Amino acid sequence: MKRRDFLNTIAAIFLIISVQSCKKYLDAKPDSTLQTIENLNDLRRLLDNFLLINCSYPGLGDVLADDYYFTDQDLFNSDMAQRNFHTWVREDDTEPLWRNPYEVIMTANIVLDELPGVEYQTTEQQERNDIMGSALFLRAYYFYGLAQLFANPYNNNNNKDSDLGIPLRLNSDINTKVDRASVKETYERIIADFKQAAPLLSNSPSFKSRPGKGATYGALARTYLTMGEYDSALHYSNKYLSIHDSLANYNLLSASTTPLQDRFQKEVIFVMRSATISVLGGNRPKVDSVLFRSYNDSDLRKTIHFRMSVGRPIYRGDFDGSVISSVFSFNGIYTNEIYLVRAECYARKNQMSEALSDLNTLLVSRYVSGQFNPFTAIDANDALAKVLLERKKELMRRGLRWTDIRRLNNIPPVNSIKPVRNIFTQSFTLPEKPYLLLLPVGAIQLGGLQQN
Amino acid sequence: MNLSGGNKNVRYFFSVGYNKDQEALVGNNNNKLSLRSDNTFLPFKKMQVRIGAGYTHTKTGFNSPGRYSDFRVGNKKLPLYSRLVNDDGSPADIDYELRGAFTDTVGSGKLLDWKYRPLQELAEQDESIKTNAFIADVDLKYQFSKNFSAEVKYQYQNATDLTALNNNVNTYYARDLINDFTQIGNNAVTYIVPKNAIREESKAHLNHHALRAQLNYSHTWSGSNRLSAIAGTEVRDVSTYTTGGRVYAGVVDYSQTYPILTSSSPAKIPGYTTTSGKYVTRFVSWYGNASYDFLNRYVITASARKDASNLFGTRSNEKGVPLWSLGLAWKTSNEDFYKSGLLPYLNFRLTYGYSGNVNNSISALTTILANSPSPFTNVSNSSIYNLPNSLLRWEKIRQINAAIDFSTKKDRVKGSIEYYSKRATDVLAGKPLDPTLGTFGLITNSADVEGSGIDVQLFTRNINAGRFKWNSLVVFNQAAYKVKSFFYDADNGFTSEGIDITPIRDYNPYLLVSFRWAGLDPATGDPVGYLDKALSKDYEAIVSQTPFSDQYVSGPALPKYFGNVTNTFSWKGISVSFNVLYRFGYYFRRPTLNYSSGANLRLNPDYLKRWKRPGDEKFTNVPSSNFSVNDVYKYNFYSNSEVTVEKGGNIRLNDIRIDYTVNKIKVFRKLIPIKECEFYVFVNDINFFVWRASKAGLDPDYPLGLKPILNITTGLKINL
Repeated sequence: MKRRDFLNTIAAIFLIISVQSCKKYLDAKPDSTLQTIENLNDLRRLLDNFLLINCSYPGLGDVLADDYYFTDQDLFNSDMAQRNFHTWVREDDTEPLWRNPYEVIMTANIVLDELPGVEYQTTEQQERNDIMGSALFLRAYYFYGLAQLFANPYNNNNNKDSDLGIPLRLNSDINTKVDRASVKETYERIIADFKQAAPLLSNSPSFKSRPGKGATYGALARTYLTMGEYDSALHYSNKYLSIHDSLANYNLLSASTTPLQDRFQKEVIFVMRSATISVLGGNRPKVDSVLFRSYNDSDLRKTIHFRMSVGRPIYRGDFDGSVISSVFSFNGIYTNEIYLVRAECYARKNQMSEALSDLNTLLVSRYVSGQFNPFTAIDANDALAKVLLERKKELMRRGLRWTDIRRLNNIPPVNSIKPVRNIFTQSFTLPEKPYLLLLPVGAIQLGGLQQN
Repeated sequence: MNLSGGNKNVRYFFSVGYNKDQEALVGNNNNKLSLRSDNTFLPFKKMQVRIGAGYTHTKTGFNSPGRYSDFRVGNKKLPLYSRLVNDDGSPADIDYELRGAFTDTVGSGKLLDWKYRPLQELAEQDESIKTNAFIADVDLKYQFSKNFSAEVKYQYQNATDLTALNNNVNTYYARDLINDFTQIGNNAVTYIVPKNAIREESKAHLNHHALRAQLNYSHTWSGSNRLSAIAGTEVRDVSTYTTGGRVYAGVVDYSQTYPILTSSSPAKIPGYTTTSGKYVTRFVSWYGNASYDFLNRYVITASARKDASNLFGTRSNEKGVPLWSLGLAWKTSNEDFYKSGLLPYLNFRLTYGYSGNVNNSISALTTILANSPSPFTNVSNSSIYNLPNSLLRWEKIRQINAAIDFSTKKDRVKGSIEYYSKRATDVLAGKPLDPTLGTFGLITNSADVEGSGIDVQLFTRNINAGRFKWNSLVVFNQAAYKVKSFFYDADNGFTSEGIDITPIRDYNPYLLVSFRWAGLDPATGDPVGYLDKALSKDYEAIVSQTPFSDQYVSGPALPKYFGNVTNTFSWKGISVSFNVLYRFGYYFRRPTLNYSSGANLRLNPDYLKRWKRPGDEKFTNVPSSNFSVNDVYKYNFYSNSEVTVEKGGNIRLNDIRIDYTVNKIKVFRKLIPIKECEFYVFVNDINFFVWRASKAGLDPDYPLGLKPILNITTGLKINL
């Protein structure tokens, strides 16, 4: 090698490692499983993360409501916080219950923030709309779920601006401080997000883990019912039922070990469940015997929704396929709920026969063929009472009963429900003031939020 | 064993080594074979070529089921003194994951044995890692002129790790999985998971290239002015490819859901989860430094470098971090006016510089991580890996050093004293976040930390009497750090062991913080603390409400003063050196008796010192055994109170080295001449305490009692 050649080699190496040429070299991905957001599919994949998106609902309502009772021993063996929730004691061990839903909300916000910067083909317009609609839907759905536990109940005539709702995080910037909104602002945002999502979503999504138009109408109907706005609730339940009106015929289910094992069966329009709530599992949640006896013997729910353990009925009608009861609350959008929303709206609007018609349409699918005697009522109020009772009987383990207790205790005409627990020789009654969960310590200390 | 030789134009070196290590846990072992060759030759004038190659093969076995304390029964530790061997010598079973009553009866004899026996696992487990590594390097150096040379170095490395875990049908793992899925019919037993071995394998492949080009220049004028400079650039590329999965010895249907015996929810066979990933790390650096020595008295140095890497997702201009420093030195003893018999060599140095740091795992942009397909829907999906953080920036460190180097006549005492001051701003550290952001926290610029210290090194020749010599090396360090700002405040009830950064402004970042202690209740032996400065036994309130200002701050958890003293004695060819370490000015928390942990109760001699009757509170701080299972707050208070803090100061003998060297002898009937023969024994981790401040008898480095075991290395080196 000549001296000159060697010098050239050195010069070449310096050139190769020059600032310009190394830019591309340094753009290599350090981990092939890691990537930045580049296309619509990257955003879609974030929303398809079932274990986060569809399994983080704050479904604690089933522990707070009156569907179940627990033995002293089962409560003692369970987590102290769950014991306190069940007896409506102030308890701030709510970190995962708060953080997990907000993780979904953060994901939805990241999708919404990234979407304008992502290039797409004209053929992808529907997919882009669907992604945007899904993110808005999920944000609103989780805001609603959090509001049922942490925000004051909505009451159009009575809510003050100082009645706290939840923090409404609407972007993904971690450096923005967001305070708690009022209850009114909270529900306004939920309604606005759902309404913006509905036209963007398709009628029939490819998977029941993705929201569609129907799920959004259902969620709007549910939200308006929670707010006591029956005209709007009726409007959206009509829209829902014009897309999805089929019900499962319980005569076709066998009361084998897992009669409801298809979690995607036709009544389920959008799948959602809570994280594990251990006290709800196994033989722990006992069903009130008066409630159980209220099911007619030709009512198939008596064997499909319940099983007996040491002579006590245990609920299992959760569409999870569990042999024994699962540790989740099931908080998706199901058609049976929307029939009951519409029936209640009719009854409250004095349309008794329409109310009974919806109630009977639902219940005939639950009874042994030919043995169902259609419900009748003496007036709209009687019809309303029957609808509310059937609502309680049909919608267990859906997180809905807690919301019902809150609204029935709050929105006139008040139908006071004051469950009582007798545990460890102590008696607890649901407090007069709305029982709100405490925000976790981190949200107070790091986020500067106001405590309930 | 090695071989070397050569002449003026060619030099060669070849070595072979074999190592076999015995690990502390039976069943674990490690074997290593290594080969290395290194050849240097001068193909023509001014050009030097070096070619090296090496190969190592390592096999490590992991066949221990674990330490006794690693076993859990449910979420509880194994009860003390559980039997591992039955009276007849066969391995005894323990209730490991499943209750004995369940494994005794389930399946009424139609299943495989479902017991867990630690000693059977030890015998059956077959897990190993085999590593093959190859390394090659080529250096070319060309001397253009007396002052100027250039060199190019290239290194290539290639390594493969093969991890294999063979769960044969006698291992608990295989039996457990097979049983769980077994379907028991009226007269037939169906095995869903094949009744055979379950094998797990993973492979990691690493490729490493490094290329460096460097120019060297040096010039000397009139004997006492000297300029030397280097400039270079380097590229490194490390890519790793991993793959692996599980194989059943038989046909399995991964798509089906089956009822299983240990859970109410049906499950799929844990899949053939081929995990594969490709990881690429690339670094590019440019560097240069120059020094000018004027009159052999004043030296100016300057250096700068810029490093860049393919740090994921950040913009290109953020990828590189510039570092620079400037230095001055004054060789005082070379001045004409300097005449000192006491210190014939004296030199002052001063440097000032900046450096930067970045954590390669974080990014300012959103990054997403691919998950395995969603359950139920089987759709591919991702999670957020890195939250967008628009304010992420480099961590910067400013450092000032000032030093004196000196030596006395004939180097009887020589050494250096160095003072440094550092200020790190925008330190990248984990910062807890408001859960309303949907996260626990993230690594971000979260603190400014200031530090300063003194490093002293002294080497003394105490005795130099012909064949007997005694030398000492004394190292002394003093270091102090302070958090200057942290972007959030300590929670109420904050206590700390000083293991993580403690976020308290104006305190050491590694701090021991405790609840104040007011002794034991003379009537019940319950611990008493303070709430709002008044005596209190409301442990829940103490633990959740005490503000930081009411807490007891002991001091740093890292030594403020530390160093070592090594004394070497030699006589003829034998030399013995003793290395003594010392650390002062720090604190640690000792483990305490935990009454509330039930089956997890750790044996702790404090139990014997517990309060038993009124009056005992004068002698002991150990609460009475009046703890119920639910007294978590009481235990939390006691175990994190100031009485469990111990002073860390200690002096310990750490290691001893004995060397024996013989020169120019002939062995084997005086046929083989040996140039030099060296034999040594190195005893490390002796941890013999000469003195310690704490009376608790614990090693402050290992307060839980599990210390590294004494480590003895011996070696023989023969030079022919």
